[in-house]
Amino acid sequence: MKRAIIILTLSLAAAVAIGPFVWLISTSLKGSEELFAFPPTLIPHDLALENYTGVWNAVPFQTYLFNSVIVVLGTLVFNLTFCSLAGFALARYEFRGRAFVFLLVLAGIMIPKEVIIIPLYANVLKMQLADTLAGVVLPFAVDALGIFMMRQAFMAIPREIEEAATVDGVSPLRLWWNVMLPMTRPTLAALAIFTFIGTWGDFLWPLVVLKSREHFTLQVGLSYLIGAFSDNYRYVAAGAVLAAIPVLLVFLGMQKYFERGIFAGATK
Amino acid sequence: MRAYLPALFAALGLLLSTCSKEDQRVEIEFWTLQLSPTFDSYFHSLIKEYEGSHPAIKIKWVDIPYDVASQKLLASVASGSAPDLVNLSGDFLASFAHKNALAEISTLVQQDTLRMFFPHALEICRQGGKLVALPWYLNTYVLMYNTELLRQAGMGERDVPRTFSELVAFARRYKEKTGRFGLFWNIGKDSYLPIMLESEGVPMIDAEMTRALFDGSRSVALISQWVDLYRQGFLQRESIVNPGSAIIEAYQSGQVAMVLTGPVFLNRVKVNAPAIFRRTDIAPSPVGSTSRQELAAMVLSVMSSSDHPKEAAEFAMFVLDARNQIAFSKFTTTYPSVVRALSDPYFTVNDGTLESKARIVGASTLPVAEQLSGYKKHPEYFRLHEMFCEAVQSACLGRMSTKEALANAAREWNAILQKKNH
Amino acid sequence: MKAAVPYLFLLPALLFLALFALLPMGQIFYYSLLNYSAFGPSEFVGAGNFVRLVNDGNFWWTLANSFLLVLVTPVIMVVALSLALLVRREVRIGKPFRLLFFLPVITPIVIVGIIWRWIFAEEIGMLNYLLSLFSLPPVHWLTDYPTTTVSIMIVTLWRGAGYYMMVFLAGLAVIPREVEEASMIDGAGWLQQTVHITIPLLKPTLTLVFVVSSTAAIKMFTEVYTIIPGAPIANKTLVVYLYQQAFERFDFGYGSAIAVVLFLLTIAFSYANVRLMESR
Repeated sequence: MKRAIIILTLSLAAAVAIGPFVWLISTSLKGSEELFAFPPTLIPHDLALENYTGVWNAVPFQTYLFNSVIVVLGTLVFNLTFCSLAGFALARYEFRGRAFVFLLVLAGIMIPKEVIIIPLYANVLKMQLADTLAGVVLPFAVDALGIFMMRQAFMAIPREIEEAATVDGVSPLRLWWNVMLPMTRPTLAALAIFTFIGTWGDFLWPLVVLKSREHFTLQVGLSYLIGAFSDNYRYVAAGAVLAAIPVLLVFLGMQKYFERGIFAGATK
Repeated sequence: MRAYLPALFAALGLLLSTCSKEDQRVEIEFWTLQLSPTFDSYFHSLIKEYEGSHPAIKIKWVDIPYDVASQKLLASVASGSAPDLVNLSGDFLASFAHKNALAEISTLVQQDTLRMFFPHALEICRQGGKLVALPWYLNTYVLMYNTELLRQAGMGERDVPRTFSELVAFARRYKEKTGRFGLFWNIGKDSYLPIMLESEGVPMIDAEMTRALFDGSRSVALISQWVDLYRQGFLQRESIVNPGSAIIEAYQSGQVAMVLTGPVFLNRVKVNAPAIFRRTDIAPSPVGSTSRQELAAMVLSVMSSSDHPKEAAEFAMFVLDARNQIAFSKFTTTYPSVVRALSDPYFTVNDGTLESKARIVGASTLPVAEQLSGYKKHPEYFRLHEMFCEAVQSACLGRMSTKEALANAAREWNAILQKKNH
Repeated sequence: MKAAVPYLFLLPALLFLALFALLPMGQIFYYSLLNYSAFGPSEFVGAGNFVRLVNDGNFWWTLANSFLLVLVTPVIMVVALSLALLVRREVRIGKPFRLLFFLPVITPIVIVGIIWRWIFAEEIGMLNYLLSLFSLPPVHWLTDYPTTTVSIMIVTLWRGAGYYMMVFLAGLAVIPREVEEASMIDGAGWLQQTVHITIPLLKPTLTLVFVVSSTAAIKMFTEVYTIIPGAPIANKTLVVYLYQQAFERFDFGYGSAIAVVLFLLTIAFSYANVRLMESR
């Protein structure tokens, strides 16, 4: 009985959550005759897979995909490494200026990218990074929020574990890498997923930095589908679904890190 | 290993020589608004032809999405990496010109070549007595309607409105007959009401741009017609908040029977809703008592920061050449800015398709169409327009009477107009 | 040597942070004292932009709206935490649900705007249709103020619930299972155990989610921009106002002054939050 209520609640919430995405998929499979049919159809009469091949051919999808992967991987590696190092220091070391550094990190979280985009672009240009993938990656290489998240994760780990390891006389770097980091795997996974989503879906920044078509990321490239003269909704929907697939795959791959038992596994 | 060295040096030398050869060419960076990838082939062949006949010039074509155009241009200007030649919408000219971002172009091209353009289109490019752009492709308005929806309402071609007051009556009658919405027209956000007022012979602003004129009794009466239409539920509630792009969305989804829009959007209906496209017919845009029609222009401007303004202007003239403009129009269903180009059979002979009918209907208005709203030339155009739009919104939502809302907005306008004009 | 360790650990992160967040923010502080349009020379005006702000009605309205939007934070937290706890409780059934709740997060924002405008449409939209089934009058989701702010909150909740559910799941996974199991043996029910054991242990995550979601609410931009593009500026948010001044009006000095206020407000706001949450 109790279980039935839980499942019902979850199902209702899920229906609300996925409605728009279902509509997106449905639109991406519709033929032109059906797009604005009234009443709207959820399941298209004949599946128009040509929207997918169409959008694949309309823009250099492979190039965009490759660039997006490079940008995302670069941002991920930088963020996971540097944020967890800094988060560890903030959570586990007493040192002069810690409160100040923490304030700087908080300040970093508060700065909307929309606000600083002009000085940011001017600086990237001075560093000769305009129209390069490095120019897209480096300004986002460290997200202050990531430092904050990692600090919270390290703080949740019981002191005893660290003390036991220090008695064995390991170096701070080894302590971080071998002992502490594995215990924050769920947070690392969460950070990875958020960085991935944020970077994968980011549109404004790569658009400002990149100029040449061969450097475009997927989102920038896809935005050109919504053109002034050729607004093809079905292509836009198909492109959006294609762009969502890699995120879904990563999510599925990371899911096991959210499950129970990791903590136990890490301490054994 | 050693055997490779000469080859390596040779390759390196070749690389360097091609590099230095690149450096000798003058690079002109040319920005367009949302024309890629749809017109890639047109621009690639255009640029290739130009570079072929001008070996000292290299054209770097960059296309930017319309929505972020001003932001991207601003970032590039602020950081000193602005393009040489840029495609702008006529609406943006005043604010960029006022910031001295655009070069005076009449000194860069031969004066007599300016005579090839439509005078009204060229007029849009004149800001504060200076010519800061050259007109490129043009757009006018036509009435697009769904014959099937009209037939269901017991209406036909004779019911298609020819004046703005008939348009108001149509919206009322159609809804009364069918319970559905007759038309979608932006009256709040991106409001078209100024065009209606000007066409009715009521200017928004005086010629010296020192005083707002839309709070007079005649304009209050004209705007009240639309406000009442809205308040009484004859227009969709979102007509005061949705952006201009909502017009074609409402039409192609079959929500409304009629819209007033550019012939250029017909293609979008064809792609997204072919069933509705087949039932679509075209009529000339309704007009006010003066019969004046609105003209929208895309223009080309040389940035004042350009190191090669002469070369940029020369390339602009090549893009604007009648032959190249006709070729471009055939891709886009827009109109060329060059008078001679309009005599091309493409704009005069009806081949029986709807597109060609729309083209001819629109083309017939081109010689007389003009930028109706004089305040588009004010450096604070966007702010002024927004104040007007917000006044219409609060009147529609019943927060105040139309008269009161317009009087408030006029007061706000006058404060800005008098300050800026010293 | 040992004293240098935390500094070395912090160095790369702080370097990037300084270069790409704090330095540009410093530049913004500087611009806020100028009459600066990015075109041509700028002019020092001292506190002029701030004096203008104090007398600007739109500034106060958008500021109020931004703070109003923070009201959605507790709702998001309750929904996200409930989802996380339920999904975690029913491990096997929960698994597919996690994926479903996550879909709004990865739907491109442009599409989100199109779909929700269609749902909120006042005569033909789905929400008002549902209301009419219960004989309720239509709600003016897209035109009336402050209803528009509620519409924005709904979309924020829709997008945020799945996102923060993931953060909570990550936080829950770090909690030692033994601690919870020990209380089970004492005979506490699931609800009691959750309230008395699990949630207190989740405090670092709760702080995190509260700070992140409330500052996200204050800096709300994209949702407003896509869902009520045509509403009067006074019905929108501070970042939208900033964007309009800087990028549509090219009044970069004034836009920067708004940015400075936004920055100081949010930093004070979240510092207070952290203090409050960590002291409890």
